[in-house]
Amino acid sequence: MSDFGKPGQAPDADLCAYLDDECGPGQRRRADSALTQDPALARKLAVWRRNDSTLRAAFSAQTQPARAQNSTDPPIGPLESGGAQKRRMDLAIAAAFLAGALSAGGAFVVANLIAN
Amino acid sequence: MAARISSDTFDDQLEPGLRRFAQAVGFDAGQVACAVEGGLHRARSLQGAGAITREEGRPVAYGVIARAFLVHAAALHAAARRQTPASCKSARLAAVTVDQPPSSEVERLRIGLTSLPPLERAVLLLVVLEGLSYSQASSALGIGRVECAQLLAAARSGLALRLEPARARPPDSGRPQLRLVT
Repeated sequence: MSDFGKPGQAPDADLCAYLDDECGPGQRRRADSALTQDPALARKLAVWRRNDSTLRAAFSAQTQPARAQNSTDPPIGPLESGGAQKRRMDLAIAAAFLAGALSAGGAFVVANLIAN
Repeated sequence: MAARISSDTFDDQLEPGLRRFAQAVGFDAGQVACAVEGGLHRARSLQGAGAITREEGRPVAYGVIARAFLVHAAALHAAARRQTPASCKSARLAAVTVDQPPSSEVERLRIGLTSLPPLERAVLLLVVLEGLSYSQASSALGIGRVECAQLLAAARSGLALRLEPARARPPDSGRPQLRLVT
C-alpha cells in the first residue's frame, strides 16, 4: 500500500499495514529491518497478532446459523437412554396384555351368567 | 462487465459473516436480525440495479451494519449524557460490575472491545474478524485508507492495554507460595 511509510505517518499505522499485509514491498523490507533492530516493536507486533487470533477464535466459535439463534422452538429435553426406552416399551406391552386378559375374562363371566 | 451472482448465493455467502459482525459490535438478537436483513437488502438492491460483484457487495452490506452500529452508539452516548443523577448512579454500578476481573481471556476480550470507541471497534472487527481489506473497510465506513490504518492501530493498542496486564499476572498471584519442608 503506497500511502504508508511516508514521513510523518504514525509508526503504529505502518505496523498495522505490515501485520495486515497491506504494505508494499519497500515498506515491508523497512518494517522487517526495524523489527529486527527494535525488540519493543517486535513485542508489540507479537501482542497484536496474538490478540487478533483470540478475537477470531472468540467470535468464530460462537457463530450459529440464523434459525438456531432466533428459534422459538422449546428446548429439546435430555435424550433417554436405550434401557429406559426398553423398560417403557415392556411396561406398555404388559399393560396392554393385562387389559386384554381382563376384557376376555369379563366377557367370559358375562356370557356364563347369560347362559345360566 | 462485472459478473452477476444470484441473490440466494449472495445471501448464503454473506449472511454468516454479517451476523457474526453484528453480534461482535454489540447488537442484541433483534438488532442483529434487523441489521443483517438491512445489509443484505441494500446489497441485493444494488446488485439488481447496477450489477455489482460479490467483492463490491460485501463492503456495501457490512457498511450498512457498521453505520447502523455507529448511529446506535452515538444515540446511546447522547442518551447517557442526558441521563439523570439517579441513572448515572446505576450506570456507574453497572460499569463496576463489568469491570470486575473476568474469568477468561475471551471475556476480557469482550470487555476490551466494549471499551473501544465505536469507530475503532468497527474497523477492528471488519478487518481482523471479517477479513475485509483496508480498501473494503474504508469503503464500508466512508473513511480513507490511511485513517483506517490509524484507527486500527489505535484499536489494537487499546485492546492490548486491556488484555496484556491480565496476561502478565501469574495465575496464582496473590496466593501464598507453598514450599516443600523437609
